[in-house]
Order: sequence, then C-alpha cells, then structure tokens
Amino acid sequence: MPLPQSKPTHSKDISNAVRLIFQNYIEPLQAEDLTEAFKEDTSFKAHYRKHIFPFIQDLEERRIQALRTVRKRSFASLGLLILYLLITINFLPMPETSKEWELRTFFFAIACLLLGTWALFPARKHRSSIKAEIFPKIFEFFGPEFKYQEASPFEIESLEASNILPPFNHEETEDYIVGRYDGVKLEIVESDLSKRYRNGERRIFRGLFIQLEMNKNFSGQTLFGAGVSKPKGYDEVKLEESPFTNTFTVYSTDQMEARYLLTQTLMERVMELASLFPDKKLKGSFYNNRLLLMIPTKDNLFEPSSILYPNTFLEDTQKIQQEMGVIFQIIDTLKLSEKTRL
Amino acid sequence: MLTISLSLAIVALSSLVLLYPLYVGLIRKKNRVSEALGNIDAQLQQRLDLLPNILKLAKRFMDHESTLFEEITNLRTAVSQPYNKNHPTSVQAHLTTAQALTEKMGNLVVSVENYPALKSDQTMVQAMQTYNEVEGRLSASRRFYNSAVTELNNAVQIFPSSVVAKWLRIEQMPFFEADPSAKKAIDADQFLS
Repeated sequence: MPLPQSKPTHSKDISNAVRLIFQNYIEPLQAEDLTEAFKEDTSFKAHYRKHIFPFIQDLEERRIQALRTVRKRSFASLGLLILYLLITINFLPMPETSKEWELRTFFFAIACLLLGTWALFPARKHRSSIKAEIFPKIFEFFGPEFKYQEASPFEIESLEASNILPPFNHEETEDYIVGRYDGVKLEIVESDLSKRYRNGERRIFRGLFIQLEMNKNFSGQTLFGAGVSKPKGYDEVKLEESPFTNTFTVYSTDQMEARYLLTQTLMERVMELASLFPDKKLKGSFYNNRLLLMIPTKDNLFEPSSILYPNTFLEDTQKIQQEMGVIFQIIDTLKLSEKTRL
Repeated sequence: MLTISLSLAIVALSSLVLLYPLYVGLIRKKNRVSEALGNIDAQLQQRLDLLPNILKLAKRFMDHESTLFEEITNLRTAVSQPYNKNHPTSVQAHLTTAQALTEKMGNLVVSVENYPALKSDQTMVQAMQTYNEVEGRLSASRRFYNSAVTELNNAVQIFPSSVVAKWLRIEQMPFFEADPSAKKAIDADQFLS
C-alpha cells in the first residue's frame, strides 16, 4: 500500500539537505503532529496510541542522531577525498595514456562510492530499523496473525499458473505481509520483475501481488484485467455493462463460474481497490483455490518517508488501514471463509 | 450456355461462402443458449435436492406454515417436469415456475427469522449456507443464459442472419427475468409496523 508521500517535493528535499549540511538544521517534530493521535477515539487510533506512539519520540531522537552522524561523515569523506586528490596529484606521476587516466578515475570513483556508502550508512540503518520496528506494529492492528517482514520468502514463479504474469527472467521481492482474516490466508508482497538481456535489463512490472487462499476450489480459471490478452483455451466473458466492464476485460474457461465469482458487489470492490492506486491497471486471476491480484505501482512501496522529515507514522497507518479494509471487503463479498458441501 | 452455367455456379458458391459463417454463427449461439439452459437446470436440480432436507427441518419448528410448505412442494414437482428446451414457450413456462419457487423459498427464509430455535440449529445453518451457495450459482447461470439469449436474439432479429434464422426455424428465446415483485421498492413500513 503506498505510503503517503503527503510529502515533500524534491525541491524541499534539496533545501532540507542543504540546510542540514551548511546550517546543521534538522526539521523538528511539531507538537500538532503528536496531538493528531488523540483527536478521535477509534480502535485504530487506540492501537496506534498503545503500540506505535510510545516509540515516536525515541525514533525521532535516533533520526536526529543519524542525521548528525551523516553530516559528520559527509564532511569527513569530503576531507578524505580532497586528501586523496592532493596525494595523487603531488606524489604520483601524471597519467600519460588514456588507459592510465581511466584507471586513476576508476579508483577515484571507487573511493567516492565507498566513502559515500559509509557516510550514508546511518540513514540506511535508521530506515531499516523503522521497517523492522514500526511496520510489524502497524500490521498487528489487523490481528495477531498478521506479520510483516522486509525480506520476502515469496517466489513469484509459484504464481505462473494464474496466467496473468508477464514473461520475466529476474525477480526481486521485498516487504512481505502474511495474515489471516476470517479464516482466509492473505499474502501481500512487493515485487519488481524484469527481463535481463546480454546488454542490459528492462523492467516488466513493479508493484504488489495480493494472494487470497480460499476454502473453495474453482472448477475453471477466470482472469480479468486492463489490456490482458486472451490465453489459449479461454473465452471472453461478456458481463453486464458497468464501470468494471468498461475498465477490464474478462476471460474464463467456465462462463458460469466467472459470473458466479464476478458479482456486482465484487466488481464494485475491485474497482474500489483499483481506485486506490493511480494506474488502475490491476489484473486478477481466480485459479485453483486462490484469488491473485496484481497491482502495478510507480513508487517503491512500504518505505518510510525521507529521513530529512519527522514522521509520526499516523498517516501511513491510516492509509494502510484503508487499503486493507478494501481487501477484507473482497474476502467478505466472496464469502471465502465459508466451506460448503458443493 | 456454358457462360450462364458458370455464372450460376459462381453465384451459388458465393452465396454458400457468405451464408455459411452466418449459419455456423447461429448454430453456435443456439447451442450456447442450450448449454446455458443446461447449467440452469443443473443448479435447479441441486436446489431441488436440498429442498426436502430444508423442509423437513423447517416443519419440526414451523407449525403454522403448512400452506407455504405445500406450495413449495408443488412447485418443486412442477420444476422437475421435463420440458422442450428448443421451444420458447416451454422454456418460458419452465423458467417462470423456477422463479416462482425462488420467491417461495425467499418467503420461507424470511419466516425462519421468526423462529430463533430453528435459525440457530446447526444443521439448518449449514443447509441454508449450502442453499445460498446454490442460489448464487443459479444467479450466475441466469446471467450466462441471458447473455447467450441476447446474442441469439440479436442474430435472429438482425439482417442478414435473420434470413438464415428463418430458414433454419431458429426462434428468439425468452430471458430468465427476476420476479416483478423483486423489482418493487421495499416499503419499510411493511416490516416495521
């Protein structure tokens, strides 16, 4: 679910970075950011106040410490690079061939990379600690079985049978969420699929996979999506005209089952989910005993906002709550938890 | 003479080439309607198989609904009668009876709400869940049937396939429509008074 980038623009990022370096100025947490958590009394806010709010101040202090360390290391790195240049200019012979220039430049680039990594390491460490400490608490709101982990054990190749995956030969996954709602197993993973060639790489897909496992097995396979092509053995399903059918095309191996699954209510829920993501180019597939939703997104999701700004995580958790709510409604609509004798 | 024969042969062949796809299309659409009707009948059969159990359970608790039980039993018998799937009137009568049974079962479900002991009986809960699942599938079959009938009726009515339809004696088929009472706005006073 996209973390709200209620967010700072690039120009503000640059301005804050410049103020940090030259004025040692770090934007502080405002009092009104903290009072927001106490304005309404909902179960969600109660969870936030109990499990997340107590850590805000400590995280804020660690953020400021990390930024100060980044600043010191940045100046130290700059000093070391200048020293390196002075040494190479004054004590080493000038390169004469282009190959020697290339080598000298290569070593300088390596030095920049290593020193840059060292300088920014506290910021990356802070980011990882937010993901490890706060994100699991956000998802615990939905139930004790909900777990978040940054490293994903999920393999996208296992979804081939859904018939909605584009061709790819390289995958990267992160930000894995697993849980149970009303007895239905739910998995969410963020993924980047690409095709690697000899000369380079082309991104095929970046976004979310949401998989729901049900208590019912489907006799056929039904898929829907914007711009999805007809797989072999499938027929187009011509549903009643609606915003859903104006956005998505449906194919299935079982016309009746497709209509059984894609009721008016479910189609509305899917449109609601699609509206939460800018592109609306969502794809879905009912196969075996699963519903797989594939949602492309432009941004890298589940990322804390920039370290240059204070964060109470309230907006983040509210947005996640909204999006998970729609997924739960999809489960309710499909009555996925019911076992019937059919 | 030869020229005339050749011209006639060309005209005949061209007609065949033009008419054949229309013929194939119509037969496919007609078969699709039959397939959809078969799906409806399969779901209706599942529903009919569930009814005796549901009625048996309901009768134990609902002493004063004998009229409703009798109506449901009679409709169940009527729906299970064979009918001509290629004859629009026969199909319409069959679908109307099926819809009447749906309405009566709806009345039974509403009546069950007045009997808490029956409503909470586990066997009844499971039976109703299964029944609701069948109704969901029946609704899907109806949508598939109506979609197939739309395509067939369009082909039967629109030139030039209408010419081929007349020649093959393929007729328009009726839609499986919801009961008119289901389309009326609900008056809350009926339930609250």
